[in-house]
Amino acid sequence: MAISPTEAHYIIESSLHDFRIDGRSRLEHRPYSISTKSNNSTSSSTAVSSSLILSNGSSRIHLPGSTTDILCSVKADLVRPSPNKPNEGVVEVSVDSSLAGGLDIVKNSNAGAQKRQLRERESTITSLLQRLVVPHAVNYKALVISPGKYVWRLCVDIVVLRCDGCVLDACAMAMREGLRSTLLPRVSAVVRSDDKDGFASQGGGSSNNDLIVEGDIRKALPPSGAEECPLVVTLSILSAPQEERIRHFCIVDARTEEEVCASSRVCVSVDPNGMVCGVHTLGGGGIVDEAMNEEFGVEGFGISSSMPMNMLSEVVNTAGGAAKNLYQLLDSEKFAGDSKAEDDGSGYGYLLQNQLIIQ
Amino acid sequence: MESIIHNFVLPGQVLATSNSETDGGFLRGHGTYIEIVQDKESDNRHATKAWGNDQSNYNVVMQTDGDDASNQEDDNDTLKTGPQRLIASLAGTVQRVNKLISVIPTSSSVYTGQVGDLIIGRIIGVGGSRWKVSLTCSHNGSTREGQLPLSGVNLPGGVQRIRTSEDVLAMRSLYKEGDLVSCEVQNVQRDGTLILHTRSLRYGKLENGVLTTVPPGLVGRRKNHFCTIEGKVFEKEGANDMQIDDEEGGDVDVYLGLNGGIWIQRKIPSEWENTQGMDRDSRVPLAETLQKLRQRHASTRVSTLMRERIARVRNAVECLRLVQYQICPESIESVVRASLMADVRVGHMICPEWVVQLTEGTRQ
Amino acid sequence: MASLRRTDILSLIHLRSDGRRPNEIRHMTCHLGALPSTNCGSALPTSGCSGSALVSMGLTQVLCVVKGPCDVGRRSEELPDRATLEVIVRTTPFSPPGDRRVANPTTDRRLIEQSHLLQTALSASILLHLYPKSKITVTVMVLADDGGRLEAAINAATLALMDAGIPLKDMVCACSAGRWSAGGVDEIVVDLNRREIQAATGMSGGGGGTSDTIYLPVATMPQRGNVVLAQCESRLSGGAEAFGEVLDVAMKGCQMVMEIMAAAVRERGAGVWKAKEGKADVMLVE
Repeated sequence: MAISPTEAHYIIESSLHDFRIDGRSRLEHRPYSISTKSNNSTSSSTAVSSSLILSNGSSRIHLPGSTTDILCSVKADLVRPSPNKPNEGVVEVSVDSSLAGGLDIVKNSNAGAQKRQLRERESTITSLLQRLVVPHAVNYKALVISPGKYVWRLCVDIVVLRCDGCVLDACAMAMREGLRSTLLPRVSAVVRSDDKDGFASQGGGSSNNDLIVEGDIRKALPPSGAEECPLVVTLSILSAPQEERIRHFCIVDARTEEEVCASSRVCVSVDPNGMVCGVHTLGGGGIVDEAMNEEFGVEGFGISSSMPMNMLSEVVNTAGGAAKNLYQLLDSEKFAGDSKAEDDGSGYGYLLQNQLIIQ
Repeated sequence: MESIIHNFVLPGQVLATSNSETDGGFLRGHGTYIEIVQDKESDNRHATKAWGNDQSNYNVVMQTDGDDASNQEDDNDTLKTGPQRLIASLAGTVQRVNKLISVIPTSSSVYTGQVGDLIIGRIIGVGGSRWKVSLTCSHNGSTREGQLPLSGVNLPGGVQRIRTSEDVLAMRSLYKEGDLVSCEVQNVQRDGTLILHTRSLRYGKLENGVLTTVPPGLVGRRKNHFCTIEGKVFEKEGANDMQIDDEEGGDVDVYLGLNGGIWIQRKIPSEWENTQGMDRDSRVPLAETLQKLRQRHASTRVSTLMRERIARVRNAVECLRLVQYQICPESIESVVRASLMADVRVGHMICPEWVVQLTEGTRQ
Repeated sequence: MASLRRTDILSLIHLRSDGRRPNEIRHMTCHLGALPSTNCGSALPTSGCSGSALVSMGLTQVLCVVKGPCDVGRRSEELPDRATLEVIVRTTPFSPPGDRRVANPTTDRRLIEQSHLLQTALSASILLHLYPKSKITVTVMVLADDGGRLEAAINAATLALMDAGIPLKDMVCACSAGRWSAGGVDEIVVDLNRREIQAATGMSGGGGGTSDTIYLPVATMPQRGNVVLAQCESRLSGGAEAFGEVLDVAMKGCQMVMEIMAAAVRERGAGVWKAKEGKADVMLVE
């Protein structure tokens, strides 16, 4: 019981009128701000630096008001490819949300159960990302240096510092921005003709395949295909009684309290071209309203994860539209950051330029 | 301003010393602790050399918040033997009132309850003939839970009687887990637990509104924590009279809880009270009338116009929280006015650039 | 840069590998309230921290989050007269420079040891008996590790506790010091980074270098003059005096660290006060 039924009622009613509790419309996103390695200017106001020097790429998704803060780091190294995919690179994702406490955690009563829930949540997010985003994240064929021998492995590590609703969306955003900001040096393999017997022909000890690494950082490039990395949009479906039947409608980018009232959630991953890359339905938020359930059967508010079938296509369409808005939002953020921050006014960094920054 | 910096102390900083003869030139307040310094011959060469002062061995007899007066009496004899130091234990500003020295922490997430504070909390447990109320609306908050005993609530109907075991069994019908209640601090126990009550008619379950939380330090102690933002604040000057008549625009009630919870709902319109009071005679108790009003408020839908106003007030509180300014009716009103004058959509009010602009009025 | 050998550390002009003099600590920045508190505008908890701090010493960056005091879930864990202090040190997989390594905080022995040390150090300073039957949780996340992560963790924990408003006896400040004897010349340096630690101890982390080298992280309560933690895993060839000298240098380093931390806390306090009164153009935004 995380939220009282009357608050839930208010939230659902508000969304029904297309005027959510913080004034957004149903399909509006919150003003996320992104800082990556390239535009540190917007991150000057906030403490946690987004540029992780020791990583190949990094990004930080931050929602003003400190309700969401996610760090992402991308580290690259060369490995042998897996035997059944010898011509593809590897992307590994791991999520750590130990600092973000929270919502799903029922009570302090059982520390073991808490930890288990945390781990479950982390693994849920990881596996969802693995399924919805990773297959389309980069151009895997382009990550190959030498087929069968060396490929790039991009390790994406996401640290959730705090999150207010839609963890998956924010993690996907962080991952996309992290991948886009990653700089991989150009590595090419020197293939010798006589490497069949594995002997090195040059002076002692050098390996079969030499690798030429381009040391100039200005020539380093992001992994190709990172621009096409999809984003995830989580739609929460709220149910409200209206004139003796239930009306379902969906909202985008729900806050925690809105997520709790949802009867079910759908995560849709959409790439910049508008193609849907994956759909996954999750259960509901968790509150149960007995009065509704009595009236309408189990289909009312609650943990039931069912929704009418024709809803699904409508949901996916809505997701496509919302994703387009999100891409625009992210791109405008990025451009605002790239152009040196004196001109543009988005993000707190510019605004604090004349004011004291606590260090 | 300089005096503030001058008064700012860190943990471990010595605030005052007193010699044994004067029997304490200071009284210990919140955020400090006392240490008895007994000079001993020191054989540690290293420690003294490194620091260059003579803080060698302390015989640490500490008095802090947990001790009560009786313990002090016993130790008085031993205390008198050495000079005392008053040392800060929090980072904050020093406040001296005559001999009482205390430290007010700058950290705004600390909430220390005092008798008479208004609390907006969430019920997280029922049992043992009392309710457990979470003071920060969060499970891992920085304060413990408050307790609302069964004897501290008004029974439905306003009857005054001794609580029976049936009442104990019916506790959930009054307040369940997850409900929001407004209550007052009746008592602060020795270990810091707060005992709450809702015995006045203004307190009780909160319904049909919006809750938002801010750090407790931003809500100052005032005379009245039940504030109203009047409807005329929301009407722009020279607005066209296209108000649809059946959409009531009313006032917005804001309850400022000292634990950081801020509850926003529409004010119960006075027309209701009038219609309710049509059959009012002295036999119908006031409690029942209020209860009926509350129920009506909970069950009536909120109109879209009111929702917009409530959302505007909520975002105004958010803006104030972001700039860490005190939350009080005047500041909320000024932000709401600024947003109306700048014609900002409610949903955009929390975008960074608007936050700065709208809260300009709060900064001189 | 040529391969780093012990004798290369101190070059002819007496500068260290990162250009510092032997008695200079790394550039240190502290940020209190990096993740502001729980009450962040929503009706429900999104993160339960009462205080936080981000400390960077050189390239080492550590984030510390304090939760509490809150109720202990299990009766068996609660102490009747004081608070239980729980400390967890975690690293992110991307924190070590070089290879990415995932360290599970429950099984990695180094992390467990550091958690325990941190707990001991903090217990000496927090006034635990003010919160009987409750629990204070300190979580440290190492974002980047360039040597000295234990010291940075202690500093960050102190700042986070102050940010949370938990009463302390004194600030706990930590710094490390080390000594090499190279070619007959003894040099004592303060605040070692990762390369120097590796060179001093022969392998990354602690334990068993060749003799004549000492690596000593130290935590003190500077205003009271107490040493809270000192950990030395090297063999001391110079005898106890050598230890004393290195300890002195380390304590001086702690003093410098304390000054930086104190300045950061004062600035933040001044800023918060100003913002509350609405008196200035200072705006503190998360």
